[in-house]
Amino acid sequence: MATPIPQPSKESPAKKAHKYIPWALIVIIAIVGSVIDFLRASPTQAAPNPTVAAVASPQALLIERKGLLEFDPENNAPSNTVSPRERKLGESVINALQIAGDGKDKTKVQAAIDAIDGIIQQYPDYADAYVVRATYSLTAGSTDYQQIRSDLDNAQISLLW
Amino acid sequence: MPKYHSSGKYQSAYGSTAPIYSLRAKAGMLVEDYQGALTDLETAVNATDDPNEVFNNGG
Repeated sequence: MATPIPQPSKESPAKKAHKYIPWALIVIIAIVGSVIDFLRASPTQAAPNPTVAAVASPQALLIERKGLLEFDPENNAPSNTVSPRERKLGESVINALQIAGDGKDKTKVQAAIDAIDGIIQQYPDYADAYVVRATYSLTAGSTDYQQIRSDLDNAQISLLW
Repeated sequence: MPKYHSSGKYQSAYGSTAPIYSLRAKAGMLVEDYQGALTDLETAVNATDDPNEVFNNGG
């Protein structure tokens, strides 16, 4: 008895493709679902917060998406909160401290006091300048103790108000 | 007496007002205002939990 020879399929290409449509639909639905899930998750986890740095690095976002409380964006310290005025103040103070050096040379300390006088004139609410001036005055051997105490009083006032 | 200052227009290098009261006490000693110096020291001690802030001021 002769075995029947398998005949090549005579289905049309359109009919063949029709068999794959359900699988294609499943794949498309899975992809669309993944994209929607990703887009829904992203805004809540990497939401811009006024107290958070404006641009978070991809590495930071990956860590934050782990969901750990320690890495919550809410806990991020605001970056670059130093105003230009404060930056200038800081530079002036560092300059004055550098003038004084180690405090052993009274001429240098007096020059630093003069520099701090200028800082206090520009920033009368900056408490630390009064403290530094009082300290340097004592270091330089000033006997104007009332002025020194007045500086310390001004420092207290500036700190607390 | 506030232990830590959170107000103030500018950030301060001091964690509390204690070092300033301590320095003021030293100035009080120099003007022989011993009563005022002791009062300032007492205020300094009460203003912080860290004794280094009171006595570790180079004075």
